[in-house]
Amino acid sequence: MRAGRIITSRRVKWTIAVVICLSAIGMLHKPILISLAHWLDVGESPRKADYVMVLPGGVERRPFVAVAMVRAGLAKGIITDETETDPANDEGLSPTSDDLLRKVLRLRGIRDDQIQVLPGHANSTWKDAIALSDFMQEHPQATVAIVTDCFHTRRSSWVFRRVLGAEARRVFFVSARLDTVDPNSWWTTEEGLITYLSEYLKLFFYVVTDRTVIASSLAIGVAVGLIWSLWRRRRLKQKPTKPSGESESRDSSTIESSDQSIVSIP
Amino acid sequence: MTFSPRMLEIGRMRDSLRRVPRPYRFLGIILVLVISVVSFGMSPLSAMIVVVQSKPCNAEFVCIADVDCGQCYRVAAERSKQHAIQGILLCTNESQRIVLMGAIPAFEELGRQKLVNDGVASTAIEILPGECRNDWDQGRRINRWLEENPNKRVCLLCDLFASRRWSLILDHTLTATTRPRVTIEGVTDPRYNETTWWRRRMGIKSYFNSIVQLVYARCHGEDVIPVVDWSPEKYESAALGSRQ
Repeated sequence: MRAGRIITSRRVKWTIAVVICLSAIGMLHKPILISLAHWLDVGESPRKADYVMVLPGGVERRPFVAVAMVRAGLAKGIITDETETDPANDEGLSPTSDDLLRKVLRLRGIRDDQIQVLPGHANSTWKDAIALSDFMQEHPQATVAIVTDCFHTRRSSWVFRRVLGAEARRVFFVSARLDTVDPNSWWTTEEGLITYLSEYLKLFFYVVTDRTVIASSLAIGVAVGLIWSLWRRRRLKQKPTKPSGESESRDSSTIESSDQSIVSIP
Repeated sequence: MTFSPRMLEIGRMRDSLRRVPRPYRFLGIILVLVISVVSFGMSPLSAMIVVVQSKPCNAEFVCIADVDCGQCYRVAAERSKQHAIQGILLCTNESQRIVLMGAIPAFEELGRQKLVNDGVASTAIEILPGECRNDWDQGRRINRWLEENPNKRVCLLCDLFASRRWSLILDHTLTATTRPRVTIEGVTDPRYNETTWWRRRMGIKSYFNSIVQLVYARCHGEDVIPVVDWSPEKYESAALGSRQ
């Protein structure tokens, strides 16, 4: 009877908690989703740097930010890195990312001597960071503004900080805004959903496959496990032991009283 | 009430399971899930987004749905060279900034060049006029072509993982008379297929995007694409302005 009551009250508590959580999410979903999009954007306002690095991809947006910075006198040159070809490039359906980027920059008035392509067949942000790391070793005083899409700045800054180490203070990120997706309503469009959800997925993969993160998670996991088992052992020790035959006596008293009541009826 | 030995045995097993601490039970469930996923493969997951179709589909014309599906162009070119089809249809896509400024030709033009390079006669390639802003527009454009060509059938070539979504789009954009004349053929990416996609980064990305697109199409329907000013000058001047 008592156990049944405990279970019911627990269920009620859980139901209330779930209802409160769901209604809170329902009411606050808009600010939560907007902040999720803005959290990914760690880009700074364009300011003076020696070079602007355009990360491969986003060729409809990223090179134009770099062009604007060079034209405004904020940077003297543009750097990018060689990219690995994909099946669409191999099939001749599109030029490689670095070829296309150079073409766009030339069409926007950037001279060939202002464009530098770093060697390496990059196919990920890690490899872009490695290419820049080599460049920064050759140019020990140079500062670099890295241009990428607004939603990509957090992941890329995380990667670049890991690869560049102390040299990361010489770089900063500039966001290229999206044309067709508004960060304040990204969840309402198909492209917005793909852009932001896949970015979170990538960020998750980057974080969980990082050695430092794995090691620290394992350490935290072991520590939490140890604390939990110690706490559990202590709790078991502290639990007062029931006096022997307590339940039996209670049962027998009930029977006695019931017997008495039966007796007293007539 | 009597209990059979079998019931007693099950009861005993349940009791012994209950005695296992919760974290171990949770870990056990995860282990079982991982083992079953590894042993049964990822086919059940792919089945959610892939339409099973007899290959190759029987039609006089082939339409390439995904502009960047390189393998689709190869399949279409092979069929054309074998005279298995009469022609290849390409839809006109919306030209964005780099196309408008002349950095690359329009996507349908790139596709046409690719097919010609692969040995397809240029007379066999038909670019359907009328700019399509999304896949739903493409569906409507195909419907118009089918109405203009009442005796023709079309095989729509698309990325394998996009096949179920395309089926849904065609169900909504084609009429009852034109829909039976279109079949969908999903073309496998050379880097992964429906059972090995989870082993490659590109495969996971493609699968994830396809799931999101399919769920969006099923729950919301057609996506509304905003009208964008693709002028490079405007984008550049906005880039130096205040951050978003």
